[in-house]
Formats: sequence, C-alpha cells, structure tokens
Amino acid sequence: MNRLGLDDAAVIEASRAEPDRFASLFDRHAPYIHRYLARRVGRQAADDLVAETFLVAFRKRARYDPRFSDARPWLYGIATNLIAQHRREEARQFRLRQTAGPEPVQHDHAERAAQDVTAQSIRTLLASALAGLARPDRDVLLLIAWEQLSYDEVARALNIPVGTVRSRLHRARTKVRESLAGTPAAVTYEEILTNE
Amino acid sequence: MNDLDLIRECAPEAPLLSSVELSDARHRVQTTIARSRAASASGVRPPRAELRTGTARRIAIGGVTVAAAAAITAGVLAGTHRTTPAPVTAPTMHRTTPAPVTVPATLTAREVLEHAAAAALKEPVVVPRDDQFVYTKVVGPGGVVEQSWLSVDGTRNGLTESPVNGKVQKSVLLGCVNGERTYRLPGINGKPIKGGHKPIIAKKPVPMDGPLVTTPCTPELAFFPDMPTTAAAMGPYLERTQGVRLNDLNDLSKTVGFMLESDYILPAQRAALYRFLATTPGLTVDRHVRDVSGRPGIGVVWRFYGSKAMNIFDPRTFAYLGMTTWGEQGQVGGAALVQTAVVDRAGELP
Repeated sequence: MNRLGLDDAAVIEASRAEPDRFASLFDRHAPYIHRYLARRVGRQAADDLVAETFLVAFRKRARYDPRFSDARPWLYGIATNLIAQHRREEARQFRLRQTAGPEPVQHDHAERAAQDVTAQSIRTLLASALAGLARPDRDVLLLIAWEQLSYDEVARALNIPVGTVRSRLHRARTKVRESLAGTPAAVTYEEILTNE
Repeated sequence: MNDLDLIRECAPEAPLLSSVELSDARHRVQTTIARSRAASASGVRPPRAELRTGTARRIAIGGVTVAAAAAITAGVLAGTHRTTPAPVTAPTMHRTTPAPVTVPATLTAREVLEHAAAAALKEPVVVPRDDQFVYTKVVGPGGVVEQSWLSVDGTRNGLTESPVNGKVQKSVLLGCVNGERTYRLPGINGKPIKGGHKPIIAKKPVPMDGPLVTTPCTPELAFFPDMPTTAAAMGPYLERTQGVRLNDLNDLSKTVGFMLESDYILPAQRAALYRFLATTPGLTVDRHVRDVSGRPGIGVVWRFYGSKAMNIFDPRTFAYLGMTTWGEQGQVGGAALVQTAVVDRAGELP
C-alpha cells in the first residue's frame, strides 16, 4: 500500500487516467530496483537505468495484470530486460570484482589456507563463477539470491513458467559449485555449506 | 547457510539510496510523465517508440526523455525535409486481391503461418523509396481509428491521426536528420519556464516554446531493406535489430505483430517472418476468433503467465488482420490492421 492506501495495481490503474499518480510507484520501489541494477551494472549505469525502468513500466502500464497487488517483481523483470541490453557494463562489473584475485595459497598447510581465504576471495571467485553463467540462468539466480524473490515472483518478473525458474536455478547453482570446486575457496565454501 | 545465502552475502555492496539520492532519476520520470500528459492534452503524441512497447527497445538508453520532448515540440517545428518525388502507385499490402484458399477444418499453427507465407508471396513487390511514407490504418478497442504515416528511412517528419474527445488530433513525429533531431524545451518565447528545472506537475498543457536544442538520434525505419527473406536468417536479424529474445514466445510474437501493424515489410520478408515464427514451439491455433474490429479470423495463440494473446489471420486469404490480448476478464487490448500502403506525403491517403 502507498500513503494513499492504494496498492500498486490500483495506482497503476489510476495512472491510466491520471499519469502523475504513477510517480508514487517510484517512491516505493526505486531504492530496491536501483540497488539491483547497481549490483549488476554498477552505480553509474544504474542511475540511468532506474529511471529507464520506470519509464518503460509507465509505457507498459496498460498491460499490467491487476491481479498482482505488488508491482516490484514486474519492475525487476523490466530492469532485468534492460540489463540484457547492457551486457558490456555487467561484464565490466564482473571484471572489476575479479581484479583483486584470490589470496595466495599455502599448499602445504591446507587447513590454514582455507582460513586465509577471505571473504574478498570468495567474492572474487563468485564473481568469476557468476560471469560464466548463461544470462537467463544468472538472471534467475540473482533475483532469488540477491533480491530474495520467490519462484513465483521470478516467473512473473521474467515471464517464464515456474518450472523453468526451477530448472534454471538448479543449473546455475550446479555451475557455481563446479566453478568453485578445486579452488582455494572450495574448502571454506563447503565448510560454510555444511555448517548450517 | 546454504549456497544461495552465501551468494547473497557476497553480493556487491550497493546501498539502498534515499529519496534525495534518487531525486534526479525521479525528476526524469516525473518530467517525462508530465510531458506525456501535456502531449496528450495538446494533441501531440510521443513518437511511436514511446507509444509502443514492442518498439521501445529501438531507442537508446537516455533517449526517452529526448524523444518525448521531440514529439511535443514537433508541431512547432513541422519541417519540410520532403522532396517532391514522382507520383507512384501506392501499393496496399494486405488488402489487395484477396485470393481465397481452401483449407481443412483443423490446422496447426505451423500450417496457418505457412498459408500466410504462401499468400504473402503472391502479393506484388513494391519497394518504397527513402523519401516516402508507410501509411497504416488500424482500429483499436472501442472502434478508435488511428492512422499513421511513418518515414520510410526515418529521416522525414511522420504523422499520426487519432480521435481525442471526438476530434481528430494530428501529431508530428520528428524525423532524425543527419543523426540529429531538433526540438524545443518547455518554455515561452524561446526562454525556459521559470523553475523549469523542477519536476513539472502542471494542471494544464506545458507551453513548448522554450530554447531550441539539438540531440543526436538514430533514424527509426519503417521499412527494412536488409531484412532477410529466409526463415533461417530471420532469428538472428530480429535478435540484432529488434532486441528480440528468441526464447521468449511472448516477446517474439508481439514484435512480429507490432512490425506488421506499423511497418512496411516486403512479401518475401513477411513470408520469412511467418516461417520463422512457425518454427517456434508453443504456438497453438484458435480456429474461430474475431479481431478488434469484429472481423472473423484464425488466431495463432501464445500464452504468458495467466494471459494469452494471438496474431489473427483472415480465414480465407490468410492476410494478417491484427493482434489481440486476453486476460481473465476477456479481451483486454489489441488492434486490427485495416490497411498498409506506401504514399508520397505524410497525410496523404492511398
């Protein structure tokens, strides 16, 4: 609900007659959409794309399905489509995150080596793993892991069946695990996973 | 902690911005919305990239505001880039010499599209000149008729006509000349509106007679000379030029529909388009449907979360009739293509 007590679907419907009403969607959702964009394509591109996301949404508002009171998954989907047109920026972000490189490993002290693998190293290695995913798989993984959307919400966002969400997520997680296997991060990674 | 939690914890650091930090972006959104309303109130419509979601991808990031402003001031700047070409016979694409085809009662989507391709290939081939205009007449929900004249090569000023409150409103769509589009910002007598840097929340149309500005642009074509004539080459072409996600049936089918509704596509190109679409899994057929204007047709249907949409073809001639979209409450939108033709001047009827 917004300050006027209208949910997103009602705001969108109202904006068809009174376009200015649409701006209230920005107030509610823009910080989250911007953060998602910044994580994927960097702050500078995100500053542009967050406005672009809402302008695309404004143009598409007549097609919004009013059964869904929360428009955020829809906005994530639009933002994801825009990211697809900015692959260079996304690739650049991955490159930037990989430049630090993993910590040096002392092979004769595996246990200590595992402890030396810092969070930064894991981030670096994860960036590399994520960069290696197919875009559709990466979209699903990041919407779920970073933005904490449900399977249903991702399906809505990307306009794909829930079954496809599951299969893409499974494939992405498998590839991330494979990418980290055998790296210095693997030990720490597995420890974290088994230490639930 | 599972692996998703780990990926979440290792997400790049990006703060949730405050409303102050997002104010520039909000300003841009709000201003464009206000301009859209002002344009609507003044009868000057945004260019079709603004109006059509299917073609929105054709414009560059950052170009939306500019494009809207360009359209708003188009009436002021209605220029004459047009030369005076020799008269040509205006060809009509879809409504010429309908040749009925006898078909079985049951058809697959692939068969419908193959019939449409075969019918297209029987139409005369007329290649438009760069200085001509693609005329289309469509009927929207409620019987609203909209006519448009789009510059073949995107460099001339186009025109749309549609009824608003019982009156026909004309809107000029600025062409992109030598990579530039010239327009006026909101203002009066060449000067910007006082406080114009703030979001425009006007209750009445914004005067668009401010400073003259020029921005870079890319012409929006209404005819695609390099569009392939084979189905095999069509996918990569649509992906490259229209940004179509080929594995997204909704995106692909709607893009095809939008192109057929507003652009001029040669018979062989159209046949290739239909045949490429026919290779896409997931399409079904609704044998007895009606387009937005009530004409009977065959629907080539696709579904997307809880909704369905269809491209509709004439059941006898397999000419393209238009697109409709459906929600739980029934038909929610669409357009019926009445005529496509090439003419010499914006505003000229075929």
